[in-house]
Amino acid sequence: MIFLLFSISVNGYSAYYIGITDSLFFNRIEVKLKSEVKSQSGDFLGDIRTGYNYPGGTYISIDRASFKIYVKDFQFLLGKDRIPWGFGYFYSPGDLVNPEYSPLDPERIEEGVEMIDISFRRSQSTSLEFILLPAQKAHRIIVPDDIRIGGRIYVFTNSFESYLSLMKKNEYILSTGIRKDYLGYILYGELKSTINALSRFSSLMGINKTLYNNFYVNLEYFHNGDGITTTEYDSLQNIGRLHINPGYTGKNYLYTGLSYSRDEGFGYGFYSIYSIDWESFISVASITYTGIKDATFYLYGIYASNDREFGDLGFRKSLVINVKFFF
Amino acid sequence: MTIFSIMFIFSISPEALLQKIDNARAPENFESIIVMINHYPDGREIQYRMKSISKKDKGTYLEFLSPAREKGRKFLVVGDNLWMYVPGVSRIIRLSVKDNFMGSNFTNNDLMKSRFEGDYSPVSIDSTSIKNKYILSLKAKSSSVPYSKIEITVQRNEYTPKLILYYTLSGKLLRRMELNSIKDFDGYKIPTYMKMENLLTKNNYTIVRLESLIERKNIHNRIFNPDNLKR
Repeated sequence: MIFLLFSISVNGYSAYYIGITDSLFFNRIEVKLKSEVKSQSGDFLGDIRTGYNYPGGTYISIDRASFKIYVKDFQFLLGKDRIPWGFGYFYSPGDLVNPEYSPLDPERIEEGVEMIDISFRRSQSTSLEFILLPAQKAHRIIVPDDIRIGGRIYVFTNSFESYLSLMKKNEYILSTGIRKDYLGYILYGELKSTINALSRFSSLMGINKTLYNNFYVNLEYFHNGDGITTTEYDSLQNIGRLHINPGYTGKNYLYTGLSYSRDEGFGYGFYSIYSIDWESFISVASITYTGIKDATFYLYGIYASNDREFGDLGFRKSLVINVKFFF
Repeated sequence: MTIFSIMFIFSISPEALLQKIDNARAPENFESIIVMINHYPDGREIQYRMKSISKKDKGTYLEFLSPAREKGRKFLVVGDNLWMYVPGVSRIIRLSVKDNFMGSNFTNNDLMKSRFEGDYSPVSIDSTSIKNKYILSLKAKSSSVPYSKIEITVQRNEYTPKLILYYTLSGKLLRRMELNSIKDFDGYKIPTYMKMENLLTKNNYTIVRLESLIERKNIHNRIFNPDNLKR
């Protein structure tokens, strides 16, 4: 009888997108199915997205497919899943598992990472995690990864959260982070460094705060240790090594996220990334409407500045209408 | 009423009464299904169905079951700390317990904590203003909680709250909660209907209905580990 003690649920959405980027029209139909089989001793989670892009054609993505088994204080995970390792919202240099969040490719955050993960959580204050990540598909990340192996310890005490992570791929990478609620302001920071003679440091400082119950403000400053200056970029351009990774090419970035949302009705958002030393930015303004049961309407306007980095994206303006029906 | 019982009534301390009220509100460790309905001044209403797991001195975990748009959203409260997991962005976002819960008239603290003793100190008992009832006054232990003062009205010898009044720092009455429809769950007599009114906005209130509640002795501590929300 014990095998019957599980629950199954299926939900998801169907969505339609139509938009224009400069003078090019595009549209997309998408369906996402999320299934869960849960029991006291293990779970299966599966997310799959499929759709048709015009121009582009059909696509299918298995975003998550993971089996989890719980044995006493241990959790064993095999498959593809999303497990955030950092505290940052847009930027998270301390997250050594997931691809960087892209301002132009939100699906990169939808899709999980293939892994074998063992975590140990006896108390509410400490987690220990060991992870093995095979080489990930190149389309998901800018630079293809080799096999990675790492570990992380997370500690929560006296309202402070902190973690320390170590990952080995071609080189060892160490990251740490801290987060605290200070008088209703959530403050957090992350630090990442390679462990070798030419240590490269990346860091993040962030703050988020809810104002008047409906306004949410999130600011992040990101120092990218792997970034380059415009002068270095010009030198690389001269020798033919051109590679722009929007939001991660320069050395210093400011992310701003402002949103006003209610549980029903209109919501508004403004999101921006400013590359400080390259003096380039991309901004997204959004209007959402949730007044119809199980449906959400979105209107996005995207504007990229004419300067290098975001100016090199190939478009300046984009307008997207999206409707999602949840089930 | 005997002289003995009269003496008992007048001898109960604020601390003892608070403990009895907290014990009467819910078991120390339990799992429940609740439905929350937000009513707005313009007549709109929206309904959420949630699963809640609570363990004394550890915290409260809450997961949305419906509407479909919100399914999978999770909240965790441990002490004065609050986290939210949003499945769409795969992020564990930390928030303040003082803020309102999902547009309702409950603060995160109101909805996710079933005991007052951790955040509020009992101050005094008024046993004469209302016949057969106690009014217990509580004051905030720290500025991290949403209200400076709370008044709880309970039936004598029953200890289940009937009315709770919430005050701001300046002493202004901010919210008013009525509790009704007491049902027996595993031997606990618990109100299944709670109506929280925002007294600053007319016709703005939130109703919470308790669909089910079971006492759970063995709840693993990992459920209240913030890092576990990502699982």
